[in-house]
Amino acid sequence: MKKEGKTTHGKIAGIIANLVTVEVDGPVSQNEICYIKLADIDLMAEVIKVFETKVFVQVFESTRGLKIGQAVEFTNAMLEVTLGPGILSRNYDGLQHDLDRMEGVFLKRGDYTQALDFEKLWDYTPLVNIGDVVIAGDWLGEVIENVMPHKIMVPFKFEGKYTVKKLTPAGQYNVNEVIAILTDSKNNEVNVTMTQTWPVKIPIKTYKNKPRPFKLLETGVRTIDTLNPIVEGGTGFIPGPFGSGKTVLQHALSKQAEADIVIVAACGERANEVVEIFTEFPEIDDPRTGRKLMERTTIIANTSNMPVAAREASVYTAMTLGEYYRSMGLKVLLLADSTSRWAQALREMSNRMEELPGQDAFPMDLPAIISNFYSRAGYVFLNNGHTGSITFIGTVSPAGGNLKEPVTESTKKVARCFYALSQQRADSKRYPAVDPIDSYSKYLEYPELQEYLRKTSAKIGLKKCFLPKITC
Amino acid sequence: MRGKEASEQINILGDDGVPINYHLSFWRGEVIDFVILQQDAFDDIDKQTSLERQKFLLEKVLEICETDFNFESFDEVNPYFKRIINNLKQMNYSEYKSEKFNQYLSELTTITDERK
Repeated sequence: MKKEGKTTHGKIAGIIANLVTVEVDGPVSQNEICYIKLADIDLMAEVIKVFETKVFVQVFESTRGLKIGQAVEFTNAMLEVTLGPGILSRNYDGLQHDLDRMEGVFLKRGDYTQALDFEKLWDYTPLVNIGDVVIAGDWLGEVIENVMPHKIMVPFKFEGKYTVKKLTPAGQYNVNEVIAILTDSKNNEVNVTMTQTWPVKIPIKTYKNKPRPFKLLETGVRTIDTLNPIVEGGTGFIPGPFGSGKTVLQHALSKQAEADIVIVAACGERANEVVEIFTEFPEIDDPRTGRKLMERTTIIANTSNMPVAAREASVYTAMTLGEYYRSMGLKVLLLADSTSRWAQALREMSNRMEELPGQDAFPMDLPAIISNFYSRAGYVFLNNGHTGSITFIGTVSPAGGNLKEPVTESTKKVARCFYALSQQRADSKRYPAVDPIDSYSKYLEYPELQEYLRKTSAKIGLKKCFLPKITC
Repeated sequence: MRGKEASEQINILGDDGVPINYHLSFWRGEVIDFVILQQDAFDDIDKQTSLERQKFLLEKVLEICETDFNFESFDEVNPYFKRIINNLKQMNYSEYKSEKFNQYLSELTTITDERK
């Protein structure tokens, strides 16, 4: 978050691949963003360790050409995403730069593009009245983004209560236009536009409470719904060897699951697979709206040939965008393919910093990092009584199909649904290759879900359980 | 799970080395596998199954799995269950409760009645 004060400067003292050490002349905080000056371009980097006046930063670009002594400027802000209307149907990189606005076949170093279209006009309608008291996350107005209602909210960074002093009437505005003026308890005026920023590594917590999820999420995939159902706001993961259909299963889920918004984080996958997503998704018809699926989808792509540090950021960027839409009372389905590559990015940096390695050289705190990330998903009650959810399904590509490796093990501890893809089933062309015996859904043990299933007509109705682990 | 065990036993002991019940367990497992677990992600109808349809299908499959079919010899089991699987798969590819769907459903009832 942005702090007031003097800008800190530094000079490069050492370079190890994309880990750069910088000697600084002032205060620097963990995860702060800085820019390294290289001829006519600025390279974006993030602080990952601070020791006395020595700061370790991971550069989101190739560090080719950097020299000792080059200038670094710190921003006093953490890595942030820009939130506002126009996120849907865009293709971003891991740092929320719009890929479609970049020129050339390959991405140029230091080519940073804007996340939103600041010129486009949106049909805005206010949802509050002058004199209303609001807090962070409350809905001030609404625009229609493609087909989805997009709420303009009190910025999440605002603390305490605010009173609506002035409202802009309904009409067409661009995202930078002031749509409301609020006053805080000390009568200071603040302008609110349709956009706001939020640091990706901090969860957005502008909800009232976050109960255990209990509502079934219909996916239309029989082996999931009938045997091991996932719930709205639930977490699941799909480990599977190469070619066992992880990606096809995720695509099937993104197309058919009962979600309002789909966010796909293609993290560290091969570029040709990601290109497939880019070319396929705009063509797919949405069975729910009758339009194109892409209109309610955002893709965050960070392929295996893109810088490794940005790969780590990409899953956080995806989750933050998901939390933003959840605050609007929408059902978000977040798919990450694959979380193993993200863990590999963490491992690379950890090793370069010469930290004590854990199992398979992954950082010691890998289980904690994975748990923290998965816990950001969930079903929430907003302050205005509406509900929203993020259902997170990640894939894991265990090396050599070994399900005992650290990423799978750590994920198993936190994700409540486990859809094991079996090589044997894939080889005998039994798709989806989800192994019915190894897979499980711990949500079936939740009395809340059982109660929900009993109550609603959407009961999956297991007359007799043919798998002994299912209790219903 | 029982189907998987039965399949291993049949593989080890041979088709005629196990009781008919083993064949029945194996083929019941195959019905669940082919009809419920397997799904065609590239077929317009089969790619998505509504909860109502899943419930219907599950009940139908369980009904078949719970029925005691009569067989004289083990080599009658394989073709009979293949007919059932084929019929149910055709149902999966037809629109729910459409004329075609109902036609396959009545064909299925005829097949299952044959050996009750």
